[in-house]
Amino acid sequence: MKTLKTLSLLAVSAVVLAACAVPTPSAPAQPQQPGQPAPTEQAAQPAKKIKVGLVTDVGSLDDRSFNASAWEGVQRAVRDFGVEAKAIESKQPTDYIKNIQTFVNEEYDLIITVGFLMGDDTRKAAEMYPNQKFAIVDVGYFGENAPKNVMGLLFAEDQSGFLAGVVAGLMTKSNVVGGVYGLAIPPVCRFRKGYENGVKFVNPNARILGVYQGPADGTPFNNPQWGAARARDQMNEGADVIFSAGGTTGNGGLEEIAKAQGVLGIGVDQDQYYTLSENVRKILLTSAMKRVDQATYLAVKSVVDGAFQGGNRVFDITNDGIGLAPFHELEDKVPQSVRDKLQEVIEGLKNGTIKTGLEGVANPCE
Amino acid sequence: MIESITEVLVRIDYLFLLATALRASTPIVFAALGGIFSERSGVINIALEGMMLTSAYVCYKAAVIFNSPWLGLATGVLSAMVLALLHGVISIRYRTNQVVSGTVLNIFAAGITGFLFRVLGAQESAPYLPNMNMPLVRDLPLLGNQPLLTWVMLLMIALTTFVLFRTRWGLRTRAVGELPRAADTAGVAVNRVRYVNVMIGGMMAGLGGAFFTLHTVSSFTPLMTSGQGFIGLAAMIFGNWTPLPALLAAMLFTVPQALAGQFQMFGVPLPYQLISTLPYVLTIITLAGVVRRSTPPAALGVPYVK
Repeated sequence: MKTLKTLSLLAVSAVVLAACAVPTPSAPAQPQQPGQPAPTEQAAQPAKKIKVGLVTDVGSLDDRSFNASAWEGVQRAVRDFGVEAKAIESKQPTDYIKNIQTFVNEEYDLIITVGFLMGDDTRKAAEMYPNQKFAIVDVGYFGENAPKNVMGLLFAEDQSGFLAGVVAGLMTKSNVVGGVYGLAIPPVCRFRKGYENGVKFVNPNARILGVYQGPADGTPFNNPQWGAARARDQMNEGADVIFSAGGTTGNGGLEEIAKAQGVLGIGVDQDQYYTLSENVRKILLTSAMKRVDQATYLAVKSVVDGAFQGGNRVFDITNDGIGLAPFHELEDKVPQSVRDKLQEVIEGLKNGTIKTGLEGVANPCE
Repeated sequence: MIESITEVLVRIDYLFLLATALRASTPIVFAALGGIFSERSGVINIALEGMMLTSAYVCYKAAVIFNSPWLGLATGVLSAMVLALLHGVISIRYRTNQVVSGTVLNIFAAGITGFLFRVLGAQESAPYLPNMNMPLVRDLPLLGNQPLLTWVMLLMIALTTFVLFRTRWGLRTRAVGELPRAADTAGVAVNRVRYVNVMIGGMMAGLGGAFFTLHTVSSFTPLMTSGQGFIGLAAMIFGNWTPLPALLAAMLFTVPQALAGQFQMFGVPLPYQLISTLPYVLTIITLAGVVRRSTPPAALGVPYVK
């Protein structure tokens, strides 16, 4: 009997630890960050607090990449609008629907699901509960049967990757550039192909290497050791700029690059300078950002304003939904000519004179 | 970038590929060695994954706090041994089902490391353990410039083989795992031998965990061991509970994985999803065709009652 007690104590403490791991942020706690719109006094404080639930993709809330970014936007909304927010992490794909159901049962006003892999389950839930508002990151629903109560938050990852590719193509000395990517799902493929087209745009002779994490290569988006090994492969082939786009799998690649001499890395999704370890900061050239935080923030805002509408919204270079992060510590290493070219490409993408080659491509992974 | 398979096969740097595979085998083999010690003495240990994960976290945090990879390593290994002791107490003293105990410890390890990571963060970079890159050693084929722990792993294979099959302790360990009653009659303290071996197993898993945060990346992410402890258990079984064959079994897994990486990088015109299953396909073929029936220790999983 004693054993049973020990065992159950262990199990219970594990569960408790996991459960209290996601703190519910309370209303305005952190100081306003510069560059963000000041909170509007009159908009906030509705009679009944609006509740926002976020369900992560497989991978934790602190993947320091994708889920983290989505949660950051929600937290900003908590500070600005005084809404209530809670997150549930999915440990495996079978958790998706379960976690969504939890929020439905607790009558949350808006349920945000994060990630391409949750597309099917979110649609199912939306059809089951037509009065429940949903927003989903990275998925759009098209055609007549598209659910009317889901806001699809899409990004032009190809533009973001293209800009990273321009910098990589101009900064490489060996004329070999690489890439370590997560699973080949549309957002990742758009990043990769945009990046490769960006390299070719400025440096048609560069050799371009790249690997996707296969479904059998350990935990998707969370196998840093695999990512590190693949970055080594590419450095062995002479790559001196490597784009890492694949959650902590990609972060493993960046860590490996940091051990080498003269190799630069490019991060993904958010400005990874602020999220990765000190070692990586020294070699992080830039990050190909998609402002997932901005998207989730605006989704919450639409509910607060009573302006929520189903349908797809695309975040691209024209509405600051994507962009390149600053060069930070490598500011001095990037010559003016590279900055000029980059500015030129940004303008070109904005006014449509430069194309990434993925415009209107339905399945970028083909 | 599409090239034919033969063209790619000619271009691959095979020595580099083998070195990559050997490096990737390191945590797998440590887990396998941990399993060998534990299971040779009769205690099933599926908690190796959790021990590795715990050690990975503690190595990271302690290395940052003490600003020393060595103290990080020591603390991390110790943490894995504490978990092993717990596994020992639960399964030897209280005679609980050993698979259940192992499962619970794995869940516990995932929970506690995830919790600590979230509360304490992992922004600082831990100092790395050195690679073997001193003059002369650096240029050795296959072994040159490998992580220190990869060398330690090879050393441990030799040491484990020697201890298990050439020393009195090894004989007792195997006796306790095969026929504990006979060992007891001959004056061997069965449960004491089991405790020590389970703890040695924890030490091995601890060394494997250190590989993740003191060699691969300088920081910790939740569940970063990514199931390698379980692959280590598989390697232990393919290797018939013997050290060197366990390394070969691990290589059976890591060589195709490294090859798959190269194939994809060079743009072999095969779906990469298919290529990434290569390690598993080869493992199954080898298991079915080459490996004889593996025989676990006879008293494996059976608590000893006087």
